[in-house]
Amino acid sequence: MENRDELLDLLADLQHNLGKYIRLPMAMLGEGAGEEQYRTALKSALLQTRRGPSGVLSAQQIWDSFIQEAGPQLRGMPEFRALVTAVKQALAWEIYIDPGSPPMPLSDIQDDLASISDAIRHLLEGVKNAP
Amino acid sequence: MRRKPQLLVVDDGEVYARIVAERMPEFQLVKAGGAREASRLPDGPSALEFLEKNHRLVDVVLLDVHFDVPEERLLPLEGSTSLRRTKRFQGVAILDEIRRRFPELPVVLLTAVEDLSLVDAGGELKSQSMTYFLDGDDLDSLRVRINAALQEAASAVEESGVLWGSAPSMRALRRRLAVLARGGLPVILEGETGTGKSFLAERFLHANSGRSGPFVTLDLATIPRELVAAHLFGAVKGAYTGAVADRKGAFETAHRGTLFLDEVQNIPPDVQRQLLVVLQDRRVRPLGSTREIDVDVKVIAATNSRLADAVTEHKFRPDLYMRLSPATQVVIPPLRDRPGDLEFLARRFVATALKEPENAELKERIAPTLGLSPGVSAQLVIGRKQGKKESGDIVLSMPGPVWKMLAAHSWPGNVRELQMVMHNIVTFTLVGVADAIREGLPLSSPRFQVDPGLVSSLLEGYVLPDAKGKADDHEGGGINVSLEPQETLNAVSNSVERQYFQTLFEQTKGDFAAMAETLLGDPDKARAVRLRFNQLGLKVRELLRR
Repeated sequence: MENRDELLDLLADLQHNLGKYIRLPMAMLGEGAGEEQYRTALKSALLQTRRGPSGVLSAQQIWDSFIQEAGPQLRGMPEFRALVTAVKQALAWEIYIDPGSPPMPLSDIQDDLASISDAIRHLLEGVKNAP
Repeated sequence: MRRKPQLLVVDDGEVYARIVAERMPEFQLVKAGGAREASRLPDGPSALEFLEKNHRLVDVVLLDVHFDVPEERLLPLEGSTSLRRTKRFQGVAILDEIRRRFPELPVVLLTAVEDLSLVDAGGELKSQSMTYFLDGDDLDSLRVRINAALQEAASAVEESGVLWGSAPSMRALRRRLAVLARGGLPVILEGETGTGKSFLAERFLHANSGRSGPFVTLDLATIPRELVAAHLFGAVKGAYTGAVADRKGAFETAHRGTLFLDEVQNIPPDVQRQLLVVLQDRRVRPLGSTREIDVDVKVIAATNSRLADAVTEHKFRPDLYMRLSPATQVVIPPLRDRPGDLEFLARRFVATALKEPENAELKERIAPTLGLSPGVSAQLVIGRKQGKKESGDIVLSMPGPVWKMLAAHSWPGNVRELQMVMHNIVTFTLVGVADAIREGLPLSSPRFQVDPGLVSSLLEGYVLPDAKGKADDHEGGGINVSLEPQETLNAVSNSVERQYFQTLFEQTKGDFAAMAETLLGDPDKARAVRLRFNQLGLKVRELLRR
């Protein structure tokens, strides 16, 4: 196993930058929000995921940056493959950002966005428990 | 219009500040910094600088954990070996500083506790007073956490008659007792005399225990040694000399409820072994009986000295001490260690003074003349403050220097002493008012200044019970404090005050002018002393017969 602490830090960063912020905009809308508010929130979640002093990063950019840092051992873990699937599914909802797109399957989208966080937690556990 | 709770967002990103501003109209963001950062502060140094000057404006801090800010804007994180880690857990470093400088400020950490487990800080932070984690990243979770923080901050001051105050030590005590109340484990309450051990045991621990049985008190300092076992476990008729009837023990009486063992360090050694067995087996056998009774009792053991010391000195069995669960030991801080609560408590005791039965007669005499309602209460105003106008209260105005005298007192009798002093201040002041009314003096307002001499003499007059809470030599001026089951704090206060008057009466040979000189620094106030004397149920004739 590569340096465990470094891997844990890497995943903790991903959890914060992607896992948390990809689901926040829609989750925080609360009851009574309209379709347009949800589309705006989805756009914010996928394309303006992390706003900070270093600028605005999309979910794809955060993911790409993580992939560059992830070493072979991490990539070889089954939990990693589950995370890749979760991220691909979540990013695919970008097609609903366009105002002219069909009505949004809200619960499916929210479930997929939230599943990234769950997948990262599983991977974290996998790293912690690895021999 | 009601003031909205003020939230301070400390976050390097805009998301949470925007959410509060757009989706939570019931709260208001504190205006912090310039226009660009009006609704949030982006890092630890700016947040601490703002709070240093404005923490009283803030009701709750919403604090992010990961701060992606330049290195020079990061606070050092204890144990961190990398910049990445310091950024990742920067919120923990900021929280440490907030806790150190503003321990009473509620903080909601904008993360789930499990996401902090990486630094092994999650559990530790969760147990901190006034610190909350999110249960989920949705609007309701955030709202629930903010409201919980606001509610705890408010309820921590006063709750169901328990005057917690706002000292961090008392808030921590409340949180700990709330946990201990629910469990089945015994609880050891350690605290100086007057800190309110029995009151907390009954009004908080028992009240929040969810137990259906009664609260039973046994004061082990006042029961003769040879009768302790009978009082605890019960006895059948003839079990010992004087057992003329069956006696139900405290354990049996407290079945499904709570048994409060006051001054537990006084329990005789031979009974300690029996008590240990009862705690282990949850069965009790009355003296002289062959029948065992199942008992389900939560035991609260109170002591005004360190029980561990009694173990070291071989006065208390170590196995019984362990059975009483020293891990659940709670120390109630003395009043002198939480001076910030003095004003709050003094105000509360003044406000409740007129509800005491002994003041009813005074109130009835004074209220109509002053144009006040019969249900009038009293309000304490300190220094030059005006007090609530048109409140309809009797206002006791306490000059600043007089308040300083109270604040400088060491309060050896703790909260009980403060309550007595404040009640006496109200009573003596109103006696003076009643005298003025009787003499036909004009009274234009219900605002009266507290006599500095009165306060001085009341503070000097308190005689501290010895370590056992009693003095054997009553003639010598000691005070005998004994707590009976269901005894109220007021009854105990009156008992102590009665003894004090009695001793003073004996010392002055019944000269009320001399008593007034001692108590109030003014022999002309003999009538006021006599009135209080009567209120306490003391009879001159009976005392002279002694």
